Amino acid sequence: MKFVGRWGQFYTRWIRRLVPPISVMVVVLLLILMYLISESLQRANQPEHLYLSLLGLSALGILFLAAVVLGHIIRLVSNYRRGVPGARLTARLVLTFVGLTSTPVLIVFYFSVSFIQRGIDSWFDVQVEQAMSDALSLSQLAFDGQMRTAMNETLRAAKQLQGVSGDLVALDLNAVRRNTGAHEMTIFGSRNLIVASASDDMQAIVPSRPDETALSHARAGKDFIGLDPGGGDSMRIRVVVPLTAGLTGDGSSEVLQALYSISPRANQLSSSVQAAFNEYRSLIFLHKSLKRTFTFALTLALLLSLLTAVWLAFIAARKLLAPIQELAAGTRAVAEGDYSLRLPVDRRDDLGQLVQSFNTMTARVRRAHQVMQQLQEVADQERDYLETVIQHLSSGVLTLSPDGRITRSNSVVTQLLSIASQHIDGCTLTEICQTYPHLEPICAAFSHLLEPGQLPAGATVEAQVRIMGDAGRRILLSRVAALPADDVTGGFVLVFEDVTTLIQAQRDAAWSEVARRLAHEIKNPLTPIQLSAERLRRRLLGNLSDESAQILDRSTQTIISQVEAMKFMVNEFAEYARSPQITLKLLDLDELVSEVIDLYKGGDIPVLHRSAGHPLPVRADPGRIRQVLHNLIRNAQQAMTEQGCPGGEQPEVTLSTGLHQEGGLVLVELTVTDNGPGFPEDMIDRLFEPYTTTRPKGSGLGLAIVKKIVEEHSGMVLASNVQDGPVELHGDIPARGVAGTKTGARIVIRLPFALPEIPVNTEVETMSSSSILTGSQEDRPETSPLDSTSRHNAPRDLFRRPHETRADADLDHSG
Amino acid sequence: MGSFMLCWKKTDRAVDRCRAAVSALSFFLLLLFALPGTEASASSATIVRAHAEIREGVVYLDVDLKLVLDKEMIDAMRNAIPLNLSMISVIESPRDWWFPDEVASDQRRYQLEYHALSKTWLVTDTLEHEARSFSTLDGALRSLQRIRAWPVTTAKHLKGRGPLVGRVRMVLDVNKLPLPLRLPALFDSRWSLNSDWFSWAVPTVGADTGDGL
Repeated sequence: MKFVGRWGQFYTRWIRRLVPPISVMVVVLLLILMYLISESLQRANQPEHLYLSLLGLSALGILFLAAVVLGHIIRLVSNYRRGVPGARLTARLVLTFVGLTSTPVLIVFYFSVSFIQRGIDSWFDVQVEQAMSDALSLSQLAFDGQMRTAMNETLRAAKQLQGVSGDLVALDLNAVRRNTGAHEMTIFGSRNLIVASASDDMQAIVPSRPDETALSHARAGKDFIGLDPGGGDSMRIRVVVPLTAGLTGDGSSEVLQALYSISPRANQLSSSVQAAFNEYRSLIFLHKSLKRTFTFALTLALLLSLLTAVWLAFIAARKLLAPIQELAAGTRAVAEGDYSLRLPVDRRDDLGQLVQSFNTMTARVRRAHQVMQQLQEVADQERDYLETVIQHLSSGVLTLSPDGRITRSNSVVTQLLSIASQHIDGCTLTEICQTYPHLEPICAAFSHLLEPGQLPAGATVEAQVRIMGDAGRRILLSRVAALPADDVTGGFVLVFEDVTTLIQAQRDAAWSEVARRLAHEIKNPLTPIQLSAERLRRRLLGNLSDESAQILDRSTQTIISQVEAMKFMVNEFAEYARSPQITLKLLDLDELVSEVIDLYKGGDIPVLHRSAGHPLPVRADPGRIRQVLHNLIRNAQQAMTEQGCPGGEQPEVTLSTGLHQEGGLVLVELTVTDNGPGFPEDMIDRLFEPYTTTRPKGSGLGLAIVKKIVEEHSGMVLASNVQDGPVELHGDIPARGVAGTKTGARIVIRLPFALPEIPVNTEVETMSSSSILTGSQEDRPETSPLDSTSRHNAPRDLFRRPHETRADADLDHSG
Repeated sequence: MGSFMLCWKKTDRAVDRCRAAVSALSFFLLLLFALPGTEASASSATIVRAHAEIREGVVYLDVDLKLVLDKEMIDAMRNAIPLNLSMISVIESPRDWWFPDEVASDQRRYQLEYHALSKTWLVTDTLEHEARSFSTLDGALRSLQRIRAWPVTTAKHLKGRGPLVGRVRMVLDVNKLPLPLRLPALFDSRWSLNSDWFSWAVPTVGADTGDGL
């Protein structure tokens, strides 16, 4: 593969560059060759090897050109199929070029060929041919007389030589030859061996031999006479006659050959006639081959013209289309976003102007793109800045599209609303509330405002919403504003602010101030009042009559007891106003409840404990929680003692501990239930406010303190009547449902579930809570069951009382 | 160029294409030159025997060959076109893995022509300038087919050369034909008078051959 790659580079770098100049050289060479071939066809005296060498070179050159053209065609076809830009135009241009050039060339070729055919045919004439034959015959006739004379002379010589013995014949032969005028005379004996020879030419060593035909003629007793061309231009007359006398050893007769020279003039004339005859005969014989050769040469020229035309067409098309292809490539690059491309302007024609315009256009587009990018960067920076600001706000921010889908949120929102961030983007508020039922108050407050047209642009609606998050109860100051609507943006922005602590602190501060002032203002005069009453009683009791003494005694007793009562009440207020530093530590609520209940064993009203059966870890101050439990138990006992149980049942107080789950949150729940008459309906709204009591002697601070402590622990407290019409109470949220007519008051305290060793994670929390709850479900079938459906079908209102039918005693609430 | 590239790929398909191209080219040339005479039989030259011996320090070669001339060729000669034939003899020393080393070579050239005026056939040894006339073509051919005592080289030249091989062949000198006949003669079987190489045993050069006389 590497080799192929290198070869490809080599091919691209060198061969592709070298092919055009080589092709030019080949074309020039071929033109020269064509000229030489046509020259050699006309001239006879040319070097022997020239013609075929020229033809071979031409064939090679044409093959090379054909290969170059074929390469171009293959590349064109490949480009055409792949849809390479410019391929179609190249094909069209090449076809046009070839069409334009080949038509006249073919016409010229056709007429040239037909002209050659007819021209060569016109060289020959039957009469000329006949004249040539006649001239040759005439020449032959001219020699006839000489030949006859030569024959007679030879026959005479043969007669003279007859009877001469073999040894002497050689001596006589030369004399006889001279007499006859022969140029050379030879006697052949047996097996054609030379017996004797005599010649004019003293240098000739070997006498000329007759051919087999002549010898066999003579041996058969016949005379042979013929012209002998000999070598060169000198013709001779050859006569071969038998020598009858002097038989050789093998019985065959001897043969006499005589050669007679012909006069130089006759030789010259005959040679001339023969040369002309030969020339004409060869022309006649060769005329077909000659026509073919001329046609072949013309075909070579035609091929050369056509191939050169096609090749030049490709070159021209490439030159013409190169700027167009560059433009196409540039346009593609711009389309793909590369604006840096600048095409070279190396011509001054229309295409050059086009390329120049293209460069100008890309430069402008590039500048515009850069400006756009800068703007984009500025916008990005601003958005990042805004994002950072939003992320670092202490308020939760949600932006919604005009159709109510959440488009953006900051991390505070997920903390405030206790939801997972992946459930936010793209959801509507309603969908989130379905997933997280504890957010229902937010939906109730704002869903209807997010409907189109409900909230005019720029308008803001504010509401205080209470939800129960995983960190306990939260009061959110929520604000929805409609963003100015245009084509792109619009929609709403929702801002949540956690004001739980603020409101709590305000309220607590107010009440603490009230309590402190009460304590201060009231407690100070109480002691003098009590001391004065006691002194009055001590000084005057003995001095008065019985009746008066009785009145005094009763009055002072009343004053003293009332002052005591007021002192107690003032102490209670002081207790409420006091806000010691709470120290949270991990403890098991179940265990703490058991400890407290142990103190009430053996009392008039039994206190029962329904345990969860497993540890319920909470982070709490044990002393304060104990105070809560004492307050609640005492409260219930006092109420039932004073008001009795409806239906005469045995009064009892039940403390249930367990886990409570709502919308993926797990809370530790403590429920204190009695079987008394329940809370009066008109007071249920204000139960946890100070100085709310049904008991004549109650300070009204017991439940207020409970609430204060629970809220200090980020918990919540609910009060309700147990019965069929469940009533739930919590702060500002109005009570729902219908109040029942009998039995049972219930206080529910929910505290955050503490899992110190497991990091806060929704899935883990859910899983561990589920496993714990499964256990508690077996122990307490009456608690709301936790299953997959219950999470989604959990009560929409976090503050609604779970359905429970177990309470069987009325509990009258008194302060 | 593309067709060559295709041919270099060693696939059957490419080979077939090359063959087809070569066939097409041959067909084209045949069409131009050979078609009018395809009915005639071919000419041939075959060497039947070659024997060498050393006499008086010279290696003499006797060659017998068989020449068959096509009618077209005879016709051409009758129309004053001479045939030029060459006998080439080579003595080589074979080498492993390479072409043999040429030790000696010799050539004899003959011209066979028809003399219209005398109606005879002339065989000329163009190197020796010796011409013999024959009243028939057969006679002329017989003289050509029997080459005797051709002094190829000297025995001295062959001494100490190791094993030697002699080869002899006859070729028709196409370049001496008239121009229009040269190209067809290359491809036309009627004009193929080139024999194959014929190997002959080179006699060993020993003391009894009279070497050094």
